[in-house]
Amino acid sequence: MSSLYSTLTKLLEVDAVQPDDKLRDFDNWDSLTVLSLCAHVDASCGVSLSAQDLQAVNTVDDLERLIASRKAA
Amino acid sequence: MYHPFDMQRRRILVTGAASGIGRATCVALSQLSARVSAVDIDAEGLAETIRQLAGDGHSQIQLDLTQLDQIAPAVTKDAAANGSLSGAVHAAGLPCVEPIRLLEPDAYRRALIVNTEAALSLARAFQRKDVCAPDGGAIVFVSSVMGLVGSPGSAAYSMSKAALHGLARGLALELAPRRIRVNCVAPGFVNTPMFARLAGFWDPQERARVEADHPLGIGSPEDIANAICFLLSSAGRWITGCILPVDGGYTAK
Repeated sequence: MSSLYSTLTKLLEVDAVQPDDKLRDFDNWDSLTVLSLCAHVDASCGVSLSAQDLQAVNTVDDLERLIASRKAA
Repeated sequence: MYHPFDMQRRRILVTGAASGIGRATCVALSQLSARVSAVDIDAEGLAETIRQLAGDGHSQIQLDLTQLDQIAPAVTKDAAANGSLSGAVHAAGLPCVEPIRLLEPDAYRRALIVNTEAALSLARAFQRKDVCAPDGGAIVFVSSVMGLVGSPGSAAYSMSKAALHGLARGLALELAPRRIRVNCVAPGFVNTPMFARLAGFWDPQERARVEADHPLGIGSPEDIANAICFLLSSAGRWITGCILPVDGGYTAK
């Protein structure tokens, strides 16, 4: 999941993200960021998430869990 | 009986032939009696395309278009083995949807090579006297409405597609004395594997917005293939340097 953190720091333009950070609290969290994040998760993890899936996600940790559960499914 | 779309005795090379617009173009050309040289990196998809073609005399070339120096040798070899080419279609393309803060060179370079630079290499290979038919021919680049208009996140993709328009216009003038025509079709959103992947990321509102942007609805690969066939055929013999939107009305607004 280190690539997820690396992608998030670039997308959100911050030095680091923490598991309990709330995604919606970041200034850069917008529809284009969501789309780009979905594309990166698809390319790096082989997991297809939609913008709708991410609406149900609160924190970075939630996102990690969602990706892990989709991978396991 | 003469038919302006008839492609008999013509061989047309198509990149991106393993799926989507490339495959639909191969199928449509074969139905117009052309022989097809189908190019793609995906051997399995290529074999399926070949299975779907009407007629015979088709060939398949497995090629990684990011290896630009491999394009001319592969095209030349195909022409020597199977006959000169009357047309070339660059339908291969890679998506790139990124906000500018992620557009480091490595993030868009692959799309730029496949979408744009490979088109130039293909045109260079096609116009060679040992490749192009002596009576000339036609090249069609598949660009995109994103080469004509913008959209958030489309900057790199738009750059790669808009460059095809400049390439087509320049080559159209340079190659006109040799009766080689060069045009682009600029598709709107079309039901292809690339579109399905992108649409999978959207929420229902975004999907509805994209659909509403196309007054005639989302297109099919066959809609684009038909326009490509028109530009390749004798029916398009006075058309060169043209960028033809095939977009269900997307750019009419």
